[in-house]
Amino acid sequence: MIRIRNLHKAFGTRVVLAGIDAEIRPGAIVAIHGPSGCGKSTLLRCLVGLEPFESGSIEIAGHVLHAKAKARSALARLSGDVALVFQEFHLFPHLSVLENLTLAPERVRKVRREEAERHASELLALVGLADRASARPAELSGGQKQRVAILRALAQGASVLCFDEPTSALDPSLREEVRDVLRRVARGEIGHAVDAATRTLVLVTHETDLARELATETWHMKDGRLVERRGS
Amino acid sequence: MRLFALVLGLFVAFLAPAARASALSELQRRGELTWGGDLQGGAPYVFEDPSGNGIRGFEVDIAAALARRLGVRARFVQHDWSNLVPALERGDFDIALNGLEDTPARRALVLSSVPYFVYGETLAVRKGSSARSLADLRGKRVATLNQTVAHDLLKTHPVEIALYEGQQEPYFDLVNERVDAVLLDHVIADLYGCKLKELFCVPGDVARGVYVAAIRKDAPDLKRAIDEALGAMVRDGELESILRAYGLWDARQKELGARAEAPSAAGPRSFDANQVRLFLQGSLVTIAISVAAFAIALPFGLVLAVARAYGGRTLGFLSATYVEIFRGTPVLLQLYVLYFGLAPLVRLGAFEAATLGLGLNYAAYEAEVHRGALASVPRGQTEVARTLGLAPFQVLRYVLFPQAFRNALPALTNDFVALLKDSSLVSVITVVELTKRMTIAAVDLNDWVTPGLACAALYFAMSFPLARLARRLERRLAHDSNPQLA
Repeated sequence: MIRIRNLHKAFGTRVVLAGIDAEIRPGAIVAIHGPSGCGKSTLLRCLVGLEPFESGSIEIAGHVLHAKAKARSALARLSGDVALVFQEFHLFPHLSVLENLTLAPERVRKVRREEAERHASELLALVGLADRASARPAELSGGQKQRVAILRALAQGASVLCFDEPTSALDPSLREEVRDVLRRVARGEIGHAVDAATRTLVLVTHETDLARELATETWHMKDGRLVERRGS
Repeated sequence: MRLFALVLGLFVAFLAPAARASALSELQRRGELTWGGDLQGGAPYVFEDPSGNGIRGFEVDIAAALARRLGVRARFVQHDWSNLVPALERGDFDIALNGLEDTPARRALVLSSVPYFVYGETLAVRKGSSARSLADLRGKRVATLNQTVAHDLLKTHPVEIALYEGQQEPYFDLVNERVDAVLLDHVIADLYGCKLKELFCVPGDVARGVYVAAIRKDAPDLKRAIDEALGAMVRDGELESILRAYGLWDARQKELGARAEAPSAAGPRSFDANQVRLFLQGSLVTIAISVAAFAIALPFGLVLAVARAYGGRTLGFLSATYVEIFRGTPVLLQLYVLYFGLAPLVRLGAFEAATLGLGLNYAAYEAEVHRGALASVPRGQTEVARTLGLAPFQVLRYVLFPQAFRNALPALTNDFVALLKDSSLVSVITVVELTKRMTIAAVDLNDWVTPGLACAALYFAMSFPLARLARRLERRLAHDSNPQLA
């Protein structure tokens, strides 16, 4: 269960989130729409612990994030249970594709290396990237990079996956392969089967047709407020 | 360009013989006798008057008397003592007059005047030491000054020689047990060594020698004039009264006026296999110091950079202060403080002090390199790593350091090459590395070209492969490409 209570956030004098109240039940897929600057990306960054906020609280993945806490302590508390897939991928350029997927499980979850590699290989095979396991990110296309970034979030075993415009940085011709992976993640076909039922997805996107197809719930934001919630 | 060279050549060809035709008459036309010495040598030779009225010293008085007898004024020219003779040859002054001993090696380079002072080589040891002669000091570390008869004398004994530039430091290090004995003129020994309560000066001179003024070989008329003036000063007692004024007149000075024979030590030398061996040894010292210093600077610099970037206000301030102090003061000063200044507290050996001094200094520079390299890794890398659950130190260790290292590599290579050359500064604390070896050889052989080229070639041979290696490593790492595109 995710509970967002009276969430306020400002950058200096500019109010970005002006009191968000919402709940998301486990297994839900929430799509967030809204014009640029409405606060949807900031909301996502608050959920994953990257952005401190002035008042309110967030309960997520069994942890409570408090107002005025430092990002450092929020991140330490979440310790990888809430993942964020960035618009610009941010793969680790010095690591191979496989190492990108195994770094956090090995170092944070203390999964044995062979186990982490086996799981990562399985994930790569599921999205047709098995042959790129030893490639460096620079050798991949944009669509391949974003697919690896999504797998990296899945491999870590986060129970909440957030996506910030995951297809916006891509050429239209490359978007479909990422959409396809998103669909399969939403259907629980990729990742631990046991997790799939309770895994929550929060997706900020401009692609309304994708949102309509996947989302169990659609939020509309404007000027830092949640102005409309529609279940589907 | 060719025309310019031609004109310059003609100018030199025309002017040089004219200028050198009569050094004495040129000097008298100018109205002054310029004489070279080093104030660092200190009392009683040449030193700054404590009340701030110019310079004093028995050599100042002798120079004034000589000038007066030549009918001109004396003008002092400050010059590094080790290089007084090369500077004289270059024409920086008319005579060198600063405790220069009459040696065959020096006679091969310049003309020597008749002596103006007779000295004895005095051996100083720590109280309680049983050593009473050089023979007793086999395998021990004996300090002296570079380019002295004492140095030549020590070379013929099986002792480890420690070379200094200043006169006080050898005794300082003898007290601090960094050396086992000091062999120097009785003038220096009496003034700086024998009066220290920790030290004992062995009675009787180990050897005897004389101080002479040095004159360029192309100025025999000036030498004759100086000799006549000195001879007259011995006869009419002016020299005695000058020496008495500084408490330097003793039984040894009875030998003045008799023609002093130079001690028959080593004859003229050339750049031979032995020199090559010494140069290679010097290179090894240079490499050892540079590698060891960089091994300190690299990790310590990283600690400083991390403290500055992530350590909060207090650690950040401490790190910034360290960097500014070590970057903002000369490394030479830092070496002096570390070796001599801290000696009462920590008694570091010369090599340890050199390594630590350069290491601490370069850490300040490497800290800035690391800091810039860390800052150049996009923020998204940290953010994604943190949301994946990596702790701050894990983010540094697994995400930022590997990427920053690649960014820092060109600057690090650059700094290591600079360190390789800066390591020559450690000669001030008695370490004989490549550059010091070169200057010793150059003065010994009266040749700056061969030792200079050998020295340059060795430095190049050390730094060039390093630059190539770094370029290859960079190319290999660049394969990982740009994080912006990942």
